[in-house]
Amino acid sequence: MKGGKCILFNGIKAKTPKIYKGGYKMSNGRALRTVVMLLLAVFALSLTGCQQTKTDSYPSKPITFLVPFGPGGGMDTTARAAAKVMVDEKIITQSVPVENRAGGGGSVGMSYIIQHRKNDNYTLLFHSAGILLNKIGGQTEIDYQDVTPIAKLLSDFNIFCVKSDSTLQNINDVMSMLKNDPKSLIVGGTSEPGGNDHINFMIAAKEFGIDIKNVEYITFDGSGELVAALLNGTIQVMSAGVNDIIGQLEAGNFRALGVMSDNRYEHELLKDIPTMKEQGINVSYETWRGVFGPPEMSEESKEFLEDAFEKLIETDAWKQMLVKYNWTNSFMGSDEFNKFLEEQNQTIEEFYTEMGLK
Amino acid sequence: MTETFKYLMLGFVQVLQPLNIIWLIIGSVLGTVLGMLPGIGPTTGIALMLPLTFVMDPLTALLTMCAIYYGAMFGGSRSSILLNIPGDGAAIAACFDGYPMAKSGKAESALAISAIASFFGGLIATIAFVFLALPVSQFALRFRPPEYFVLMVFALIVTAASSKGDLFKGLLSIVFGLMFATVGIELQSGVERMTFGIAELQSGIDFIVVIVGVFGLGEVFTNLESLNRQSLKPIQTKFKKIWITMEEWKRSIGPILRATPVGFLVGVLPGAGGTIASLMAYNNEKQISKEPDKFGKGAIEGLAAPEAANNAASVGALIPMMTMGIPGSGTTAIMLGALIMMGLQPGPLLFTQHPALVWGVIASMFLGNIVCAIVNIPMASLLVRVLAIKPTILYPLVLVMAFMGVYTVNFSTGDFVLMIMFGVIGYFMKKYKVPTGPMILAVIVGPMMEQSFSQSMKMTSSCNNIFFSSYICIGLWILTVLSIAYPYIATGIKKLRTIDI
Repeated sequence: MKGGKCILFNGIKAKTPKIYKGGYKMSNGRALRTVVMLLLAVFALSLTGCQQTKTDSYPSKPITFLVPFGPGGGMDTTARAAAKVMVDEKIITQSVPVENRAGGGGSVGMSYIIQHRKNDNYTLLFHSAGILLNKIGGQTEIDYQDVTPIAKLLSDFNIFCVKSDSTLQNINDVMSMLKNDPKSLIVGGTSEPGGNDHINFMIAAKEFGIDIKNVEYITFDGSGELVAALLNGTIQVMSAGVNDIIGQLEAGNFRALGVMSDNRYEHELLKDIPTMKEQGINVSYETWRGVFGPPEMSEESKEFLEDAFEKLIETDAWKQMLVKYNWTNSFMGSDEFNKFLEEQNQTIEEFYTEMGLK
Repeated sequence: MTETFKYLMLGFVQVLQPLNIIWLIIGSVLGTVLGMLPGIGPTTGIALMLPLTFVMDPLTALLTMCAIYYGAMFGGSRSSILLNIPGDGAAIAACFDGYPMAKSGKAESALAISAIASFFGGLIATIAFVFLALPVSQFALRFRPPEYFVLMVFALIVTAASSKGDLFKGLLSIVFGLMFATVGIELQSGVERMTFGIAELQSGIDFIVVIVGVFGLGEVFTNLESLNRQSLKPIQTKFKKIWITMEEWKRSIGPILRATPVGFLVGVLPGAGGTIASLMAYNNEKQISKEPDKFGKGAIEGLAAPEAANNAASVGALIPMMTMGIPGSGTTAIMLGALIMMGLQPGPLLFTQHPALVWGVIASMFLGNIVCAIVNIPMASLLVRVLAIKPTILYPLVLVMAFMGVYTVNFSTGDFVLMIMFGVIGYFMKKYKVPTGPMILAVIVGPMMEQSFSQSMKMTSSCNNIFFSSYICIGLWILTVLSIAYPYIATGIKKLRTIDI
């Protein structure tokens, strides 16, 4: 199975000239020969790429960033931004292709790397807290312990919004109303119960002393449906990341009531959103994204990569990316990351037990 | 009004730069080619473009992605017409009458009318975009989960009612489809259903796998059966020019003009998309036709309508994205992601903050539709020669393409097993004359229908008439009832008239 990706790569490359041939009828023998030569070259290249050549120093071939979610999302952007900066700044001298393998809340990509990329030091998985949730929720048997945590890179923080003509002025209004009657408001997010948007709101609600098992929460398939649902009154409160709401905030359609971070965002449009702690609800929760290696990675490559990501976050180019996408740096090296995962795993497990999600 | 024209001109100035025109052509051609390949649709094409958007100017990137999107709508029907294998969900309806046309030696007209209908659908929808974007997006916003649920019920019932053969078989087909649609994690509860512990099944069965399996493999299996008995002759060996006659044009213009607004409006609704639009346009046309019996046997009206509708839908789907930052389909969701990658904030202010970008994209759609039409007609004259290939050579090639297309959906070999399974199902459905269209539609809308049902249930504490709570709901119910009853009413009126005489 090791050559799986290479075959595909070759397949796609080899296909393109064929279409061309059919479409334009190359009569010229020379053109045909060029195409054949190109095909052979691509084939040969991909062959050499497939072989596990034992060379002296890591990395001796391209390092793939595997994104277990679809293209265009937050995780995808993170991986592509990291790949671009690392190559541009020559932190990694090899090329860094980004590959998407979506499905099952990230577990398809993850089981792929566990099953087919064991001790292959050249495929890295980008993942989030989903790596813990899927096992705790009982959907998979695999979690962070089956892969090699390399570094935690950055964090997002969820923001709770209402529609701007809502009578709810701050987060305490929302929480008091739910405390009196947990069914008085409907909360919406893009993750299923137990997923990120749900956890964020319910942790805050629990801190306020609300009967969280009875709070209605509706899942929407993607941020588009979610935003529409708040605008047309299907839901009254929404739990979402910065990118899903910032356009609506700017247009004055939404009112942001609180952010789950310890400190406020610095962005012009977000700096007036108070944290939960400022409003007397003593919680914070980060939506982190990190990098994992395959199981049984070599010590040498792990150290190289940990070091490479540490160098990445120091670069100006990366700092610009953080500003551009409203990300917060939350770097942790491998050991620290491992400890963090252990702690978070326990927190979430307790939360799941309490919610009856387990 | 003059303001709008001023902005539109500004858009044209932006687009009419050599680099933008080159990318517009590349996008149109790429979209057409990708759309033609079974399983590979606009989403894949746009995903391929994503890395490039990092280094591109936002307008160039966005207009290229849009060109891929509607280019794929042009291309998607090619394989429907020639091979009975839809390239994408939106091209299913093109199989119903397109393939029979090709079989009866009218492939040239079929290919021509599909390009022409696509062109007019896209063009009219783009004009509508310019003038109606804001009111239409306000209308789309009024669709809450209950409205969506009723819309899906309407789409399914209408398809079943107008499917070939009897209503019972159509409903049976829908039930199959809805069953397959339940596989995967249910979003409202997070509970897994029928995944058998297989991680790949958690996000459900992708409808592309079902389409390619049922239509592509199913078609090959059906033909394998007759390979030994029939002579191994290709369908057609001599080809005329790709164009239509005046009479065919006269028959098509009505369907095109009727289907475009349907496609446009359905496209605007977030999540509904080209598949539903084209099927609804097809059914409309069939119901108002004076000769509904001809549908499914190569009626040109039955090809022109869905082709105009799916292009109009692809333009309509861009409206909620541009005006409100709400993506209207899977493809536009990726485009929205690309906008964020470029550091733009998609939202209601995109029009006012980046007028050059938005109007540039709108202007590019006018040009892009023309480019697509120009690209498609000569390309069709090459493609039509597929019909001259002997089945013994053609079908193995179709198999290769089917496997390749399905692999690109999830990069998973597990989908091969599913596809073969659906191939077998498709074979038996064809053998027992159970229509496959309703099943495919059910697979596509099933997950959304179920979600909107359970979302609606959560919106109200007492399980009562939330599905009759708005004018839109009630209107859709009336349309549903009418679409079932219409054939009977029509024959009733006819009878009355004959009695009078």
